[in-house]
Amino acid sequence: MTNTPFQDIAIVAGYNSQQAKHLEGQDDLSLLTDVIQNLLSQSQLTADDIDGININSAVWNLKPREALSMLGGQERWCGNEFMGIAAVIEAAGAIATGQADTIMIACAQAGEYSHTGATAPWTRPSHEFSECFGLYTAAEFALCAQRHMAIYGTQASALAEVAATIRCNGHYHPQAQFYGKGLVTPEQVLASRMVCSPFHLLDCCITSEGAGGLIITTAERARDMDAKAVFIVGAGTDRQGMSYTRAPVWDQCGDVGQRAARRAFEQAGLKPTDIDVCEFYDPFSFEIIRQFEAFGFCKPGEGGDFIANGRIAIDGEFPVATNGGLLSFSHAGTLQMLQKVIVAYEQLSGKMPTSLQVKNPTTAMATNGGSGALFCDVMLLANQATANK
Amino acid sequence: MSTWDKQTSSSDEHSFNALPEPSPTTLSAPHWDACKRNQLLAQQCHSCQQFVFPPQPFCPHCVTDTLAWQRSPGKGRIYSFTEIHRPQTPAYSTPYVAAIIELDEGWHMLSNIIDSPATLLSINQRVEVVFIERGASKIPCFRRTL
Ligand SMILES: [Zn+2]
Repeated sequence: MTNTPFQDIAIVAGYNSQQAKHLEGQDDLSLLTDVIQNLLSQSQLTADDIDGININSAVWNLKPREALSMLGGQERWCGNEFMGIAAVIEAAGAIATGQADTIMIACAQAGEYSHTGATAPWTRPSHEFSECFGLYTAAEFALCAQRHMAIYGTQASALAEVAATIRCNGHYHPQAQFYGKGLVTPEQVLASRMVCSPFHLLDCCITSEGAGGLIITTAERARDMDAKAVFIVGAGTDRQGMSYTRAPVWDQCGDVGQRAARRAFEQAGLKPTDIDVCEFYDPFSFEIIRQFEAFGFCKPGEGGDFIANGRIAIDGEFPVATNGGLLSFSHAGTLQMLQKVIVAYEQLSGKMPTSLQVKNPTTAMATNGGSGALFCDVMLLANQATANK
Repeated sequence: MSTWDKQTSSSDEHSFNALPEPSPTTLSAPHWDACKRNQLLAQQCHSCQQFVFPPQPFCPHCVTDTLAWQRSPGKGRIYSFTEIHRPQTPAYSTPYVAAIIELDEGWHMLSNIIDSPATLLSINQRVEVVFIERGASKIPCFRRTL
């Protein structure tokens, strides 16, 4: 198996600040300083070694080009305004095509949302064909989940099992917003108040403040460094237009990410059963069930049964959202998208808190997006440049 | 550091007191104007006959610019629905039902189901359009039929 260009790219550092509902006395700038300092010390690189950046803070409107000056004014490659997996893919492409050697990607958000009477502003898109019907993010995703439950008989208890599993992970992660807040049972999820059927409060993501980042470079440089390296072995993006501007029709968006995943698996020479850690995007519990189906881990309609009996727990066959995910680790603007890659890096480099460390994983799958949002990006990572099992 | 300042969010406080009204674009204005006359309109392509909604500048199916507005009888079925308990803003009284409607011509739209509690609704339930006043506009909602 010959390497694809992605396989010559490695992540050599990953860092998250503390995540919380509100980080007292912090703002984007103080958080980004913390991230940059930690990434440099972790990788034992200097600012001069970084010849490309994509640092942004979407809600506070810090653009990557503006952030360049934070590391001095010298010439560097600069990414575009997207975050998460799409930003890592863009940076990996820049390195693979010789535009840069070592790129830092970081994101922060603090001081944003405090109103308790309405759903968060970024969940209330003002589009003419959704806003006047009282829709918002959770409701759009609920329309997908309800359709799945109606046509396949998927049970609310399966959604609750997913939510409880992920929230228990967050309880054990010292940097999580819900660290130490108590283990959660499926019964507690089902007993929490209804937000929009079928989603109870504990099926839904939280809102947070926090920061995080990572450094990627060539596999060759990574081998010369003292840092733990994790390799990007495949990636893809699926987009269906702007989120929340038209009805999320299950027949059209229910399998979003399938095309991207198929291409990523082909690049990596891997198949779903080879994946050791599933850092799937979890804006709502149901999306985990959906992704197992869309990516081919199980057949359409079987996701609810697939996640049962501890299969998605830390010691299960396919552990999901191992840091607590968007349900209890963090959901800070666009940072949580990048954090899916960071936690995959931490799992594969053995840097997770002991109780959350999956046993000797060699491969991980990170994803962003979801059916209700009409997009899904995927990335496959491995602790060897050639991941074939 | 002025460029670090948080951008003012456009739709915060002022919109909490009233239910949101549609803000039509040049492209969508015929749809919203027709609603005021109690008519439901979607685009149909003269070349490939497919219906297109929300409105587009040209047909996304065959990429010809032969789209024309067509009146829909406004009958269809519930494709999916959700009973909303946490409102978009406090202007909404809860619970209310949001749904995807599959019109009989095959196109889909987001809407609300009125006059029926969620317990009486199911996917594939037959519905028909009803126009509800919203400020100076009317919005197309749906209610159960047999
Ligand atoms: Zn056409």
